[in-house]
Amino acid sequence: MLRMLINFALESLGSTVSSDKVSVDGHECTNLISQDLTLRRKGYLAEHFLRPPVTLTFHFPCNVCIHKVVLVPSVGQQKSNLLELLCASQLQYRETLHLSQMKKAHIESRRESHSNSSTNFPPPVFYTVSKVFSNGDETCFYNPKVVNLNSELDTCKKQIAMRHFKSEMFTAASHLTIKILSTLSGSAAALSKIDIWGLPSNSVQSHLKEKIFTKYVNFLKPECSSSLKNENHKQDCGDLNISQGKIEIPEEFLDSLTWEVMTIPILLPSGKNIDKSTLDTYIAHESVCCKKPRDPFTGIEFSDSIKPLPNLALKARIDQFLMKNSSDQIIGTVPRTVSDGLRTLLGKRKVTGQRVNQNLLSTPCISDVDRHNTHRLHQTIVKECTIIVPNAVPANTDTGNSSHETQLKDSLNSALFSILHDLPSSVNETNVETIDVKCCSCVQKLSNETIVYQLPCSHVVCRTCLFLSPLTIFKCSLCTLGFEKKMIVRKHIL
Amino acid sequence: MAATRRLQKELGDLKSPNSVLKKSFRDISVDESNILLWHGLIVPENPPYNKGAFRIEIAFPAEYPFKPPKVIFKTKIYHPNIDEKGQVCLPIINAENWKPATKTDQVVSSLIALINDPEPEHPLRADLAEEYTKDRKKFMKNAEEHTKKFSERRPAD
Repeated sequence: MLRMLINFALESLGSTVSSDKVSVDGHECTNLISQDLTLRRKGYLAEHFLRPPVTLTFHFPCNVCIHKVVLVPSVGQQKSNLLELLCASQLQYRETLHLSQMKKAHIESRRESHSNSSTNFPPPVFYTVSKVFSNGDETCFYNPKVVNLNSELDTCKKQIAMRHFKSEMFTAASHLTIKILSTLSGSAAALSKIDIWGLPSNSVQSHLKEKIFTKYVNFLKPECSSSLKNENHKQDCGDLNISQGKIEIPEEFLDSLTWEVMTIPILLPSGKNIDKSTLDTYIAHESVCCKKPRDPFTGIEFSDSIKPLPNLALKARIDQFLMKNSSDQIIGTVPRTVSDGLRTLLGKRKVTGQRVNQNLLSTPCISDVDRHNTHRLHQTIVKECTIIVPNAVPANTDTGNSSHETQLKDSLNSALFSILHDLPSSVNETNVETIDVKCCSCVQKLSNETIVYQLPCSHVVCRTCLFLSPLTIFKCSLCTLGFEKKMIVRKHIL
Repeated sequence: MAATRRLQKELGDLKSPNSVLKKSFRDISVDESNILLWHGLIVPENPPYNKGAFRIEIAFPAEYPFKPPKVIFKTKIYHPNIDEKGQVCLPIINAENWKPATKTDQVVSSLIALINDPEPEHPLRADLAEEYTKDRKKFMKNAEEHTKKFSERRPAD
């Protein structure tokens, strides 16, 4: 038992670590001695603007006979080049401390009393014991007096012996310091892993030795069991994913206003994505107060240059996610865009989940606000599909001849088309009036840019048509009545 | 109903230990059957209201987040911006200014800010606002007495 080497770079043994430079968030020096393996893996990374030297000092719970120190001086692409290893031995201080702590050798209290009483003792004197140009590779410092090179160091590439005329520096070390003297061009000082293998030194009292051993054994045991547990847990999760489903829906797929999964994500000028139905509801609510359509996050009104756009890339990712997890009970009920083609394909197949049913029966896109437009939209989509999508099969024709795949493809095409055709919704809303307004003689749609005149019969005519007729009497081609030109008035369309 | 998912999310955020408001807005309770009605306890920091705690009710409309929630004080409070019925005039939840993106924690923070620092420029109780601006000492005394008399006990921690 007592021959087992202990890794002293471990918080639970009572070791502490400090650094003289600030670190990047999440890469604190305490990671190096953490019990949490994920933290340990992250390692230490100094802020990029700090230049070497960076010092990391480890403080052991008792004096340690260091056998070897294995370290990896790199985090990702950040590499430390030149490393110096320093040790200090505070024999006397340690001994007196241990004597006073005979009764309550609780690690926590001892650590506190360390800091309290350390002022009474001279600060540790560090001596360089080794120096190496590591180039970011795993490096091993070994104590040539105790380590048999061939047997124990075979895995490590770089092996450097620790040497000092005072042998107590590594046979009874109380502190160990890693000094990062230079880094690979421009990279930050990094240290991702350190293992300090050793045994409590001979001068340490036997009961303390035992305590440290039991602590280390306790650390090893729960580690094994917890890692096992983790694996079990992962397996459980895996099973869940397949069968019952507690699948986390990524936050970017959720409408930032309603926290529902988006069916037709719309990218707002403010950079947020919300569902089309949410935007429509918002605009409907706003229009009650006679407000123009605007961004629900910033309150800036939409214009020709600043307007919401369908986020097709996100839509594709959401659909992919929903498709993958469609076996899940909750996700299976999330509404999706369903085209006419798919609707006929599905026929009257019973679909579980109220919302899906609703979608299938009502409209190609699920927006409630759109429902009153459904009929018109529906017709235009079917018409335009046949014109624009070359191999589209109109939904209502006989689908017996085409294969399942082409039908699916067509249905997706038409679904995409319906979305594209239907958006952005807010722009449609404002143009509702202009769609109905047509010039009575040239039968062109009139937008708010053309100058329009209204006849006494309430029909409208565009400026060009009105001035083209040479007579003083203009004849309305719809109701075939003639009006004097002075009776015709200017009309403003919104 | 659009409100449910969003309210669940906001409730979770407010109840989480990382919430900024965990000290000043506590005991958030929501009826199982009606997530649209929340109750909570406001614990102000500034005198004279730091002697007690105040129970509020937040009522969300069914159209939330497209329409603003309403905040009502259930505990009597001696405050220029809160009337005897417990109604508050909060600009952030005014129908004119309301943005669907406004979250409940923002509403509550703005409410706590209003309680800690009354705004006598836009009072609901003109008499208190006058007292607040003209005779601050008297106002403090009255408010403290009122707080001791009517408010709830502050949580221990």
